Amino acid sequence: MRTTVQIVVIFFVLLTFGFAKYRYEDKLSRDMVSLKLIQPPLREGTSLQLGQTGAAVALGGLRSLVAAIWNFRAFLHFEKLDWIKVEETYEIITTLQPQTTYYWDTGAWQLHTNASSYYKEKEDLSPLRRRSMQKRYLEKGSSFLELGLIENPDNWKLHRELSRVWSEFHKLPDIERAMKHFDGALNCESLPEFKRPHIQRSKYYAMTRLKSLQKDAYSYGYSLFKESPDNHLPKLCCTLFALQNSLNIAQNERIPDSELFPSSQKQLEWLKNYIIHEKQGYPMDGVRLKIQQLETSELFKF
Amino acid sequence: MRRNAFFSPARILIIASHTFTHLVRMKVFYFLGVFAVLMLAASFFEMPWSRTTEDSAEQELIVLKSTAMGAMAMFSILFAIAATALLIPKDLEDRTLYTILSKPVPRLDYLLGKLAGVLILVGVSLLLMNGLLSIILHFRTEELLLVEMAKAEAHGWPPEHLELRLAEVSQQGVTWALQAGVAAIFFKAMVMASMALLISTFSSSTLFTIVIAVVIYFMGHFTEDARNYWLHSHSGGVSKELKILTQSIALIFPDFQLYNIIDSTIEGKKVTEGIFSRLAILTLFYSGIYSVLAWFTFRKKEF
Amino acid sequence: MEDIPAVQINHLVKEFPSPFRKTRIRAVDDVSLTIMPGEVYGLIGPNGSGKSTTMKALLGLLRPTAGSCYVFGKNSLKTDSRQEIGFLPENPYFYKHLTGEETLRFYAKLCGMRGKALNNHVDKMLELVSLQDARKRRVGGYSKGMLQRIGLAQALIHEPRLIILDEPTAGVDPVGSREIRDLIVQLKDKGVTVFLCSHLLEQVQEVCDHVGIIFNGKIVKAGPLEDLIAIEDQTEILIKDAGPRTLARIKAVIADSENAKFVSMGKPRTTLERLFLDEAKKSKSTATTAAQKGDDHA
Repeated sequence: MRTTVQIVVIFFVLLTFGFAKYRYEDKLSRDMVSLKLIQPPLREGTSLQLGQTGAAVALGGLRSLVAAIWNFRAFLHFEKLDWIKVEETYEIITTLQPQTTYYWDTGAWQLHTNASSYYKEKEDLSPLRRRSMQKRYLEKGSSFLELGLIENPDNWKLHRELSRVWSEFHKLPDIERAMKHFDGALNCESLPEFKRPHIQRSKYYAMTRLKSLQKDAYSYGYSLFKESPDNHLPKLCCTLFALQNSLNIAQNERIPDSELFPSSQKQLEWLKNYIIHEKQGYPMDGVRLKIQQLETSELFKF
Repeated sequence: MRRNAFFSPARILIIASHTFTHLVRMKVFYFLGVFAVLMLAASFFEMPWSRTTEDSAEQELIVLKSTAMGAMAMFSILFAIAATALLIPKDLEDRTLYTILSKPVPRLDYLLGKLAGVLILVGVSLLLMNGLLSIILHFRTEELLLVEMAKAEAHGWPPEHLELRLAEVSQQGVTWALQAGVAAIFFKAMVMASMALLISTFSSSTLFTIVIAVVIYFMGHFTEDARNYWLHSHSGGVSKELKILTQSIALIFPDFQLYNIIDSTIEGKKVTEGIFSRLAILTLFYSGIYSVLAWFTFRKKEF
Repeated sequence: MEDIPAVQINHLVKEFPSPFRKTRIRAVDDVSLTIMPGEVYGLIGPNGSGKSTTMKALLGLLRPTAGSCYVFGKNSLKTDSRQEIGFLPENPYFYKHLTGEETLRFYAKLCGMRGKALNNHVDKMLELVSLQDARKRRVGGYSKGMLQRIGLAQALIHEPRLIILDEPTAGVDPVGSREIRDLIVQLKDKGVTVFLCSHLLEQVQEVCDHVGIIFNGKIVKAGPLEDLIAIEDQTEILIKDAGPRTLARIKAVIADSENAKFVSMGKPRTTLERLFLDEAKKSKSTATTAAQKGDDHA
């Protein structure tokens, strides 16, 4: 009887204390979530996949440890080429640590590069099947990165990765899609200034490969060229050269060759290196001709 | 002391240091040896280099930290529960309780002394483990910083880039933020120890106390979900029983998810003073309530 | 000061809930007793008669169901009352991981002692119970007799005015038992009140001056020892070196008297205990002499 009374009193005290503390806890919890100090509650279904021990530890507040271990396991699945398991594992990892860019990045890479090229080259599949699997995993990788962006909206690294995925020549490029992410990266507040030019240039190069964007590409490239001598890189100059030809820019509006290229020798060298990239879709108008001209004049120099 | 105040910090300290010695002489510190070996093993761990991204250095440090802090957290919680659960039943069984309570020792002092003894032990262990972690982490961070600088030389990075990389890597090293994480581990242990104390005043079985404490520990990780469901869910078709259940859970159990700032500090995030002090205050309140309730039960206990 | 009894128990009742039946067990049923300062009080009774329960109530380890207990005027339920009490439980255990010295220091500190006074007391107590040699040894390795002795030491460490001993000589060998009894007499000479309970009746008879007999939770007889055990109508005379003629004359005197009747005459017997102790003393002195001879030869 005595014990029962005691238990009732204790229960009552705990409830009263509970009423006093729950608002405090709620506020503290929401403040912590907004400061990204604690993760929002785990998505449903994940606990089932984690296995008993993993869940126990994860719930014990050691998600980073479980994520690190699962990352290791993902690597083992990768070695066995078990793509389904790889995907599953990375889903779990990113649920545990949604703010760690590394995991989104690596998980997506496994899908859009490793898995995708695996299927591309799998000889015992029909060409049609190969292509569809390649595309499927490319899409999976891309969606994965996009999911990462939902969790981390201002993440320029993820945008950059997405732009690479969709502009990569060896994959199945979709330049317009890549554009979205180039702009996304450039608009991120977290983007360090010294990274900006590199991304701008990458955006420009991608634009040059799409005929419909070549006009905009030219104005963009023009402004980049004028903006800073750091941008006077071989590829940029060569593409400008070719674009000026393909768009029939008026002579007085063009950047003259003497300004574009440091010397005619350099021009020859750069253009010869540039033409190798023809298959990748870069504009090549007038490049061959110019190379012939320069080579001839070189000959006559001696 | 002659006046036998109701509550005497001096006497609590005597019992606390006695409890501390008791636990130490139980060879508890051998665990630290295991921890040290684990730490050293983890420090030699290298990320499987399937992919070298810019972030890899940070990831390595994070893995090191999460292994160490994981071990520290596990040890602290388990020890806090087990040691506290053990103390009073042991005193009762060995009848050493009689000799203490027949002295002018208020029961509150006895309880607080036992609790303090356990917490001092947990605290000292954490300090030692933290010290070891800091040393190993420091050396590993320095190594990685050198690697970054070599990369900068090799690839000709602009100085801002190098600075950024060095800052990013250093943020994963030994920082004050990480210490906040260690403190959060201690807070969690403090709440669990006081809870175990409360349960042990009811039950004279160590095993029972441990089991109940562990169950409450797990329930405490769902408190946040229960509370969110109760306060912030807007779905209409919620049964009354479920609402009451989630309400009760949210009220009675501590919200252990709040201590998950440990994870964030492992990732190098900073904990503001405001958040930290609020968490500390909450911890003190929990410990206080559980201790008072423990005293409430214990003072009427008959031997 | 003298008027306040050392122990005052008023109509103490203690009931325990019975685990199987609805009825409650009365371990102590309306017990009242008073012990004045300086007395040695023995509470005797069979196992389960309520002796330990009464002691525990006095120590505040139990709450009375009815009635009250006072120690030097302070209610036993108050922590203060225990400042004046030293308690030696039956089969005492101490923290095995502490040495004898550390044990005493711990308990002394709990009672509020500090610094030099503390150190002096610890030394004194260790000497009193003859445990100086074992002071650095862990209590976990002590024999039963040593445990009893350290128990006494911790009971006395804070110089209490009342000592409560629960079966102090149970399971202790005759030599140790004799030492404890001598100690009790010493304490009495110093004016310390002693409250002990035992079922070793001869020993109680030897040291106590007041006695209470408890059966089934009730005090059935209590009072000064001498009064209780005196056989009113008989007298005992002990004579040394009396020859047969003297004895015959004494017998004649008795025969002559009106009421007096001769009951018995014979050689008084020593007790087995006294025999044992004499042998122990003898063997100890032989050992010491042999050791000294050995030293002389070396």
